Amino acid sequence: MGLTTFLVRRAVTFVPTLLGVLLITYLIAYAVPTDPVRAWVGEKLMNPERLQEIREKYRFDRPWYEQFAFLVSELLSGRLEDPVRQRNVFTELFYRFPITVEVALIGFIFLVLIGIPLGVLAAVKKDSFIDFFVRIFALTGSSLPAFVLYYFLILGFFVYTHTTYLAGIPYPTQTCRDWIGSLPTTYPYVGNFISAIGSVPMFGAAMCGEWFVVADTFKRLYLPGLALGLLNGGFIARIVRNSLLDALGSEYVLFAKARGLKKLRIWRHVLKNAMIPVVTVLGINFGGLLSGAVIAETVFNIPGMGRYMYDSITRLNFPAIIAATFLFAIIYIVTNLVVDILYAAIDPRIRY
Amino acid sequence: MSIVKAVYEALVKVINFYVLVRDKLSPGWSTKNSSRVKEWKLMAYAFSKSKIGVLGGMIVFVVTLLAIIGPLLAWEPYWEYKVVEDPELWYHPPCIPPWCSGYPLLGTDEWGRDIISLSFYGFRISFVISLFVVFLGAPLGILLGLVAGYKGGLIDEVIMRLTDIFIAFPGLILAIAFASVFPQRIRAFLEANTLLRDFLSFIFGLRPNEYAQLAAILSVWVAMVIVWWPGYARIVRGSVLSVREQPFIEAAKLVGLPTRKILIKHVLPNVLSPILVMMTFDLATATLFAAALSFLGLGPQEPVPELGYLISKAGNFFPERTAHIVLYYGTILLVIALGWNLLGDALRDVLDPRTRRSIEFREGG
Amino acid sequence: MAESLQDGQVLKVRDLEVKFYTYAGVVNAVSRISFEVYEGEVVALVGETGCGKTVTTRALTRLIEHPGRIENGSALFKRRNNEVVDLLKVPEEVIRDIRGNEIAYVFQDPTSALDPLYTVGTHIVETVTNHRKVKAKEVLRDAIRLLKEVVIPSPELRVKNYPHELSGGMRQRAVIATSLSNSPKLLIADEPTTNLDVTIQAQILELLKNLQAKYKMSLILITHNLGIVAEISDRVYIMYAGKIVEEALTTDLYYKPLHPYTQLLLRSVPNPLKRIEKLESIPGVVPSLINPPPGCRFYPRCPYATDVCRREEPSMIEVEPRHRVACWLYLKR
Ligand SMILES: Nc1ncnc2c1ncn2[C@@H]1O[C@H](COP(=O)(O)OP(=O)(O)O)[C@@H](O)[C@H]1O
Ligand code: SF4
Ligand SMILES: [Mg+2]
Repeated sequence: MGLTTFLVRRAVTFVPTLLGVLLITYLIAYAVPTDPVRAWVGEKLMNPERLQEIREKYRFDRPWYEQFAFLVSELLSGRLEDPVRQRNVFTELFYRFPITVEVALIGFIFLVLIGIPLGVLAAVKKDSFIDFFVRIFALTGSSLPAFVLYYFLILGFFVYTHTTYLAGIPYPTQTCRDWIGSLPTTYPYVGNFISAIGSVPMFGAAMCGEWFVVADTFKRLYLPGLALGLLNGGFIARIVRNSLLDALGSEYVLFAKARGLKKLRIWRHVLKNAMIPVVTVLGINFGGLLSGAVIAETVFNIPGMGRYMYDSITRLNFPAIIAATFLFAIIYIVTNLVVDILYAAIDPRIRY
Repeated sequence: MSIVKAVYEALVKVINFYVLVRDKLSPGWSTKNSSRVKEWKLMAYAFSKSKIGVLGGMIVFVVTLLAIIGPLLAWEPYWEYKVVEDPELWYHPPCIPPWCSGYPLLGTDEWGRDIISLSFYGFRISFVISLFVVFLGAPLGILLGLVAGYKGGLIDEVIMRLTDIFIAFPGLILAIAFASVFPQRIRAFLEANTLLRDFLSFIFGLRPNEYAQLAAILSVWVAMVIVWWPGYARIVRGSVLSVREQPFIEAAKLVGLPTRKILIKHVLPNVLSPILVMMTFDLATATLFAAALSFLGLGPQEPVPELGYLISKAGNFFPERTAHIVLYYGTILLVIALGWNLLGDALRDVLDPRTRRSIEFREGG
Repeated sequence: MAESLQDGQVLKVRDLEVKFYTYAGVVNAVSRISFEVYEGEVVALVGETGCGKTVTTRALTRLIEHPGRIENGSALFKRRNNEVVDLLKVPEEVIRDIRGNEIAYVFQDPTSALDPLYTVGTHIVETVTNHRKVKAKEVLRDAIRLLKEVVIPSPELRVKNYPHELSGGMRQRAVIATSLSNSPKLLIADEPTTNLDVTIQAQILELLKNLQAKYKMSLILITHNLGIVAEISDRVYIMYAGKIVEEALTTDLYYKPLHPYTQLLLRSVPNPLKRIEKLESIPGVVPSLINPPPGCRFYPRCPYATDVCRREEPSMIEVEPRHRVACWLYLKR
């Protein structure tokens, strides 16, 4: 029973979960009590015919199951329209999604850079001042309201020192984008995959070797990244610390010593075992970062998916909320899948 | 240290009192459960030794007290917009006595309301929401987890698939989606049930006629409960599966105890400690989560002084006029959450038999 | 070095003392014990749980971890090249090389002794390559032979198995194979069967006995099960609360137990060949090792205790040839 079997099994449970996700997005849609059409149409364009037209378009005059069928079929066929912006929600989402990924990714980098060294330090110097500090840092991080931290980071880094500028997302040059866009035709299958990765501006630029774009992205997004790192880094550090200590105190490490293994070899056992919980938690955290992006993007004014979600809420823009929720859920499921694969690759016990 | 001793003695008093009551109810209880009581006292000792835990406990105590009496302490009704009479009160900066007088200590918000007085209301709202969420979400999850783990088979499959589906959403996103669609329904419901409305407005320390805002609070609450239970269901089911295999459950089954009794008397106590720890941490998370939803505009709005909403409004004039307001409200949220988190962190050590034994070893009981 | 090894001795421990410095106080886990092991001999170390058996044997290769400390004593060991060293004093690199190479261990719980993330083969290979310069490929072939030796069926497949893919008994066999991989001079088996099914216990013991003869190694077998002792050991040390209280040839011990503790132990096992899991039928509990009573440590539970037992500690004397005991009953005053 190898890795492949495990993956297939895992992919099979993916389907009912996805169906369930659809069901819930529908429930959300059905919970809409009155028609939000007025909120969609701006004051200026408000006239009875237009309202009626939109109402009919979204089946507000029909029973709920028709509304649902309409929403779901539009969603799955990719035709669902954002009634406020009057364009396809997916056009909107596919523009915004890579930006959110960038924010989450940079946050993730900070998370790892802060969490892992601190955790190792705390484990090595167990019960010392550093250990205590990491504990307090973790507890404070998880007690801080994220948006308050964001405000003060902006205050410290932007308003006073102007070390970062917040508006706009750097993109690779047009030639680079064209090249990435052409990949699927030149290399079938693989090209699709690479091109999808390249649609994240930072990655695309890296693929074309346009490093200044990458650097620029970091320059613009490091503040939300740092914030995410500060909020969750302590938590990661605690996990790293605990799993290291668990491994260090385990029987198999003592037995490894009793077998006379060299220091380096013993550390290999320790680190590989300690990695398992760390990978899991980092994976969960990456999902959390996506979710946290809503607030980060709102405060830092980044035009990602989270910001889209926020704007949609204020306009009661349910088609947009549903589409975004659905996409978020899919990303989340995929992240979990990736974590599970990593997990299975490290831990032979999981492969069954 | 005297604090250690005082905390320990206070906890022992509580335990002794409990034992006394149980003994009165069913004579002989204390002798039958003496080892359990001893274990509790050991926990009390371990807890009192934990600086983090004692600090957390003290914060939680003060926070609870403030949440209860807060709205009574507030010296200004939150619904009075003083700025109408005195335009000076629009985001009046802090007014610290030797240098300035006649205005509130920490200044005012856009409606000219005293920041500090306002925060007392906010305190109550945040506190009560977090309690409501955890004390409804957790039992719901625990119940489903217990049933799934114990019954197994199809029931287990259905409940766990459902949990999987809910876990497939990032919590905040799902809550946003739900919270954005509930309010109108809930409002209609509240308008029909004035008794409930009066009760809720009393609990949240608000005026009874705050229909729309109460509905918004409730929808945040319901949305959060919806995203809260799956975590508990998963953990409880996992623990039940491991407990289920143990001989004493078999024995209880053989004796013919009904399922409900086995679950409550034998399975639940064995999974209680991790749940208790999780609930404590979750009180912190829920406080911040609710604030975040309000910050995004999903919670109560004017004139209800929910802390997250107040911060988001102050954010409009940040930092020039409102840095201190964001700092002040943010600190309140931080303190509430920190109290629970500190407490939870200590409880985790205290309730974990592994670490507790090492404490016992070190301290010699 | 005042003492040296006598003919045929592999290990000679003198006045070994191990303490654990806990917040509750100093735990005198092992108090000045002495014993020796001869070449090709099976020695049993018997005592109730918590009396210090594990700590004693781990101290031999300095596997005691914080907050424990080896306070005193010497442990002379004759290495493969016939050099005699004091295990408690040699440099760290030397003791590391002796561990798993010349002195190997089999731990009590095979489930936790193997790293779940590595195959059985890897465990064996790394144990060899960390002591000798050999190619991993060659060792792997050797590993298959070792697995065959510990009677694991289809060793070619098993060598690629992860610990969780093996049953408890198989796992312990794999641990034994790992420990044998460098053909040690001394094997220390710490309650190797306690965590296994009763049916498998006998097989593992027989295996150990056979391997001991085949590899011509010495074996220290730790157990709290006197039934096991009768079957395979040549000599027995009885431990009580961090001290050795009796030492005898196995046959002598059963024929004529001297120490009251040993007598009670044997009485609680009516038939030494019948396995009994616990020795709990002796009233009273093991005294705290934090503040051990000043006199004889068995005094609180001893039916023959007299006044002197409480005040003064009995020393070890040879009552009969090769039969020593620490008890006032046999000390003429
Ligand atoms: N890590 C430790 N910390 C404190 N005390 C310990 C530790 N390890 C062992 N001890 C003490 O040493 C004594 C002997 O333990 P051990 O050698 O494991 O007993 P045995 O193997 O005979 O069952 C025990 O009473 C225990 O209290
Ligand atoms: S010395 Fe005394 S107390 Fe100790 S075993 Fe002998 S008779 Fe019993
Ligand atoms: Mg032991």
